[in-house]
Amino acid sequence: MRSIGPVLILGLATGSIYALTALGVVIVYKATGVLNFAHGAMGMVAAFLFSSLTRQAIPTLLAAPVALVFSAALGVAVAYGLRPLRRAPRLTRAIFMLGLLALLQNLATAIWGIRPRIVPSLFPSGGVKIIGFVLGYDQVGIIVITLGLVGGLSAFFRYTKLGVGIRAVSSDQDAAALQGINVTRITVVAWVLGSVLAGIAGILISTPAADAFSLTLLVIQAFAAALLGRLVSLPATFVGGIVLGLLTTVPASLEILRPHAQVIPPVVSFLLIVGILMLRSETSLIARGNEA
Amino acid sequence: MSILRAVGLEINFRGLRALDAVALEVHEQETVGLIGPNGAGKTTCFNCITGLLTPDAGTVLLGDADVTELPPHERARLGMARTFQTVQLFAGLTVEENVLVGTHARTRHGLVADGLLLPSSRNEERSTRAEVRRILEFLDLWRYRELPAKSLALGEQRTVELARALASQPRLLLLDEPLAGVSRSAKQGVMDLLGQIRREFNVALLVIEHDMKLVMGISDFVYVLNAGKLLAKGSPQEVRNNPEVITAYLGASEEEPVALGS
Amino acid sequence: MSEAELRRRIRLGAWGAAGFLAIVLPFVLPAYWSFVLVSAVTTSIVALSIVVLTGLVGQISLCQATFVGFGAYASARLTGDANVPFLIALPLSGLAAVPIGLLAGVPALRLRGLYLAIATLGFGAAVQATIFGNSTITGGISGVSFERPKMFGLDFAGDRSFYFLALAVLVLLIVFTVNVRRGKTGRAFAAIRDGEVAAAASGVSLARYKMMAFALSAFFAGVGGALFGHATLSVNSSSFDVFQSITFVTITIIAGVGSVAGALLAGMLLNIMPKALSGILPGNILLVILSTLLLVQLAVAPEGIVGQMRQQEDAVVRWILRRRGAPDAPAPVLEGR
Repeated sequence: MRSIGPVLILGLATGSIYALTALGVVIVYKATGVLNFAHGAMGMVAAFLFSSLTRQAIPTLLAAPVALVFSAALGVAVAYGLRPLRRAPRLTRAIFMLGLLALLQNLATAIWGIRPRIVPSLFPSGGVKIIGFVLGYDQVGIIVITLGLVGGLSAFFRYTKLGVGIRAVSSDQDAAALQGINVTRITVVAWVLGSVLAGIAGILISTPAADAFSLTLLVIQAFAAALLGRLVSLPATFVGGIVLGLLTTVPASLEILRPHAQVIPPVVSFLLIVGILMLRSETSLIARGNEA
Repeated sequence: MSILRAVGLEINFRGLRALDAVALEVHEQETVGLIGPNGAGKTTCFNCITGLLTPDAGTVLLGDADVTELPPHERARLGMARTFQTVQLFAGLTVEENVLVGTHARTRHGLVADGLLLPSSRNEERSTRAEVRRILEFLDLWRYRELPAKSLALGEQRTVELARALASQPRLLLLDEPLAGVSRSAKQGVMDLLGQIRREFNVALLVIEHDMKLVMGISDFVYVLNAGKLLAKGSPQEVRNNPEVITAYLGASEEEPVALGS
Repeated sequence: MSEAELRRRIRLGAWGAAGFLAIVLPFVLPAYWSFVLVSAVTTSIVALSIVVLTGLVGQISLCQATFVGFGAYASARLTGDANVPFLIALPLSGLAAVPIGLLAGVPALRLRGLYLAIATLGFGAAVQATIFGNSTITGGISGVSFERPKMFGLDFAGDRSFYFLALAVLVLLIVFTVNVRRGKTGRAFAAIRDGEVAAAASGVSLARYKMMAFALSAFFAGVGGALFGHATLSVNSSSFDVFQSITFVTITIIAGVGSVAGALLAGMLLNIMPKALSGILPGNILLVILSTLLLVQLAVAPEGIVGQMRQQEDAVVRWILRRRGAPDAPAPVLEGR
């Protein structure tokens, strides 16, 4: 318990962040059919903004919501930016998101330069001593926030009109439109949700320093977790995120792999992605003809 | 001589048995019809025979060869060709190029020979183009050869698909609803064409069709599929008068023309 | 004159003009432009690898920079440590990238479109973290260095002379590509792109040709990488990361992934355009504006700039034929060539 405890908690905390960002990807994908390659980049912008605001001596608990408001605005902008392409094939829209990724990267470099930015933690430092090891406040905080958000999202999707609307649009956009659901509004809401989730994940994972590249590449972890949820199931995506978090942190704690700790997240994500996709895809040609 | 023998074909989709112990046979020089109400599993049967779907049970023999485990392109190489219910032409290629793809399995030269324009590549290209020209002229498509395949009218597109299938010099040609979308006046022409092809190219035909007149008119033998099972088989006459077959068609849908012989 | 004849002449004219410019520009522009032109050529070669894989065969790959990197590092080792002559090292560097291309292509046997994109993205990230993160291969912070070749009594240390060397390689690769596209392999590739099912039913082995496509694409990208290394004289691993891959693919798609012209245009967009505008605005802001413009361009014309130019060409052809009193204006020719 003494040695595995901290690793597990770290895994859960990391996994929580992966889960949050993956949920953002899945919500957008379900509602719009767009796979947001720029998801990590959108989170990066929020994290950098947060960092700059705190450097202006704005308290973290105020800076974070402000940064997230910008995330929401970014989500709205993307939703409207994609409107000309709404009938385009999924791959084309995904390519557009790739272009947005490049744009956001360049923007971040232009505004903030290439060096990593200091990002203060939202939580007080230190932790609680439990059963022989220290449970960081930040780790607990992350897990609690995640659980809260997931609970809130569940309630949102089940009980609110907008939430139900998103679910309707996810399963059949035309039918939903025929039912009088304002698909445009739903799309915007979905993008706002996705973007804000990306922002939260970006801010949470960035302590102590935010680096544009790894934040943007967080999208790969998001995809891996989202695929574990088959891109449609939110609960499974959440579980997928946690699992991915554990899979990337637990092996890194082993003596043999410690020097390679940096390498583990992308490699594990890649193996998961390819593994899931290959296993899930149909063997016969005809069936595949109806896929992707 | 048996060109095609399918035995015990069985396939399930998510618990639904789409094909159940289906067996059929096509002999050299024969035209065999495969009929049945909508959703009976005729195209699924084709897909199993050509290898686009893997059946859960059963064997497929092409001539002497057991092709059950072979991928579709191998079966094409051994002499099996097909057309599709909705025309599957290659949109980015011209009519001539589409048909040339049909010759793919029979030519040997590869990437490097193509890229460097080696003599082996140029010679093979010349001879396959000559063959393809013959087919296109036979089907009166030669004048369209440079046009993008999709720019032709649907009926002509179907003929191009037919040409592509013939280009592989098949022993067996599977046709999935060759008359679909063809105007009434053109139907006789297609029927005659199929007969001509059978003779000119010495190929056995397995035809899925809803149009009874075509099936009865050109088939030597007919299989009737209903809900994945073989309902009846025999000469066109026998099948037409089979009470079970009549019931199946009457019960299936209002769209099916009741007059099985007209 | 027939419509086809007219189009042929227009195309020939365009290519002739491009060829003329390619030869004349380095002498007309100030000397520092030669390096920009070299970069445009190496980018075009990488873009050509994307045109082959995505435009011709329809397989999406978000890890081209990985192949580029393998080619670059291979060339450094071959010409540096092993003292292999440049002209032999070049194709060998391309070949060095092929195994990685084949590996990246394995998912393509089962996956298409979006899923293949994700898989190749992950592949690129995994290689970036592992192989390109290993400093013995990449030379760490200082990177790996190259030398300009000396052959046939010429020293290619000058940018202009190296430009013509790179240009020659580009032309060879273009000719190879066009030959392939016109032949049996090109038709098989296009068949896979336009209808896998019918392609297989017609006798095309999907596995074999998809692998071949990835191998060919990786070879081109590897050659581009080798030339890039020798052009810039020093590379570090950030030149071959996921962002580079994404940049290559997006620029090529924006330029027009369906044709060789698109590859050339991509090279120009990524190198010449920023340089030409660099006097006006500081580099970073320029990049942002260009990225935005490119994004807008993508939204407006998913078929690429070349696609738009084709439509212009159609309009011009119709106008000319009408003026010459052709009986009726021809119907627009569908995209495909």
